[in-house]
Amino acid sequence: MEEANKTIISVKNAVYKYNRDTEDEVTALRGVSFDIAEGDFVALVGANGSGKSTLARLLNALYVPDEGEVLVGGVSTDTGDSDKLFGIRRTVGVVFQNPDNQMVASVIEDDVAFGPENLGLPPAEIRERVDYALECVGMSEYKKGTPFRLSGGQKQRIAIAGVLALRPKVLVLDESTAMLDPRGKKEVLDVVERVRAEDGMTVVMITHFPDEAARADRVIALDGGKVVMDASARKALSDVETLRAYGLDAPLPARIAYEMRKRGALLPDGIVTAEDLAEALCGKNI
Amino acid sequence: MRKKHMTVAPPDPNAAVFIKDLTYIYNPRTPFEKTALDRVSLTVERGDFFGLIGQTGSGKSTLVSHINALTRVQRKYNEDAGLYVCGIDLTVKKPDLKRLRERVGMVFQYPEYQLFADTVRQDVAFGPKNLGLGEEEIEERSREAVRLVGLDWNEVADRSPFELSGGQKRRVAIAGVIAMRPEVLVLDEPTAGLDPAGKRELLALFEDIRRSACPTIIMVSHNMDEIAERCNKVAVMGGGHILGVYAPEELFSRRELIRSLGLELPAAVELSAYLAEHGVDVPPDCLTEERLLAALIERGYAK
Repeated sequence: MEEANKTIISVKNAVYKYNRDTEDEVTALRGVSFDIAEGDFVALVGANGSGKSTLARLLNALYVPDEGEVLVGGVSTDTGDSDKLFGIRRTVGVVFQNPDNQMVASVIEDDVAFGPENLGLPPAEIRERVDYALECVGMSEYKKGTPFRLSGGQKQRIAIAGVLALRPKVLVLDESTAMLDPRGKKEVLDVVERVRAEDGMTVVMITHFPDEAARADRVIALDGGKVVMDASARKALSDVETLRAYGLDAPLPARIAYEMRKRGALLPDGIVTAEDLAEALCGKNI
Repeated sequence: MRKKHMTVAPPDPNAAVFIKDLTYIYNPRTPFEKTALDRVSLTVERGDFFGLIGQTGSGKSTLVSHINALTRVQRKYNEDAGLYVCGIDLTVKKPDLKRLRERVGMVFQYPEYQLFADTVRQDVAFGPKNLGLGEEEIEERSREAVRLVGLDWNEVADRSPFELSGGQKRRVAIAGVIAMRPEVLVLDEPTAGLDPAGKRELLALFEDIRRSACPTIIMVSHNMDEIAERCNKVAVMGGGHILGVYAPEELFSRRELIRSLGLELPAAVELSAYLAEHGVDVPPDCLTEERLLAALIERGYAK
């Protein structure tokens, strides 16, 4: 199964500065390195200002690193070759935080078709991709409607459909649920589950919410522009103290287990979910 | 001749906000007509930390924007309605808006987008300046407000608000509202987009502010953990109606109501219910993390 573990994104010692060489220079990333393999589901976490969103923009060549490099499918994002750049953006699709900033057309199916049209695909192929993408996010019945009257969750699903219509290998969600209500959040997370399960898509989810991060297989935490944790979700999310030190939270079951251990309870390591906690506690009281 | 507008007297002089039978219709008499508020009644007492929950589109924002008169009472649909905020009658043709804006502070969603001045000092002073206060008073209020939101005046006063972190920017924006010394503070999704540490700190600040500066807080939130931890009363909105006003304990024991509205239970309630169902001896409705932990300790699980 060598192919299943093929590296799709490789970030090597990436440094990124805003307003470089001016008085207002701010270093957002200070030498970040990690690899993402095809099929990975990675949660990228970090406090406000830790560099997460900058990193998202490095992954599809919206920004290129000032030092180090980012490789997508083995190709450096620092390229003047527009074919290569095109390839990178087809490989990595990014969905941002604010759904209102990502709508380009006044009819939903036109909005979703915007990407494939720009790929210069034949009309039949565009049709097929748009239908597939809308089906994927459960919005087929709205295709003739206008995006402006949709709820936040529905708009965000349309934004995801626009990205899926490009058939990317990697879906990057940059706090795509932050502005949504609980129902909207759930709608978006269900779509993520679906493309994971059905297409085995590689997903990088940037989030503040510990319960969202718990859906991933692996957690990468940033602080001050550096990677401070890169571990399995279970290991990372049960490490309450380390997460707190970086302004983050562990899921509630992990926090409860942590407080109980502090008070002398002997509980196993790696408690993250309600299930883990119930199992550890059952039969524990006398 | 149209019926003369009746004035409804507030029954309770202590009420910070008194609303009776308030209706609001968007785009009336057009194909897009939509009733956003349908005879809504609500009382917020002085000293309440009052939660307002409901799905997007339930009428929360329309209601809240009446409280500081950004949305004006539609007099023709509200002939027998009452709306008093800090004793000011907002159903009359020309309510005293100047006095209202002194007394009601409004923190909108993502308030940091509204920062505009060159320095934190100027930004925070903008409101008090518009009240026509003297230089000294403005400075004193600004300093106090910046301290209340947990920032160091000497460190931030002369910096540009735009070079601060996201959480700090939000605090500066809130300080600008606090510097007006309002009696009622309305918060619309105040912690949205902040990281967990930022959320926790900001909520603790609101509690401090309520104790020391502004006695009444109304908070719109989708985050049920925050509602459960901070509010003493919670109004639930749906389809332009108030579906009920509850103590948090009671509200979150009504699982069906919460689910039917597309809302969530607080994480602690969800977890304690799961644990209780799976053989752990714990009450199924612990409202907060602290209460769940206390219940587990009390029952001997921490040994």
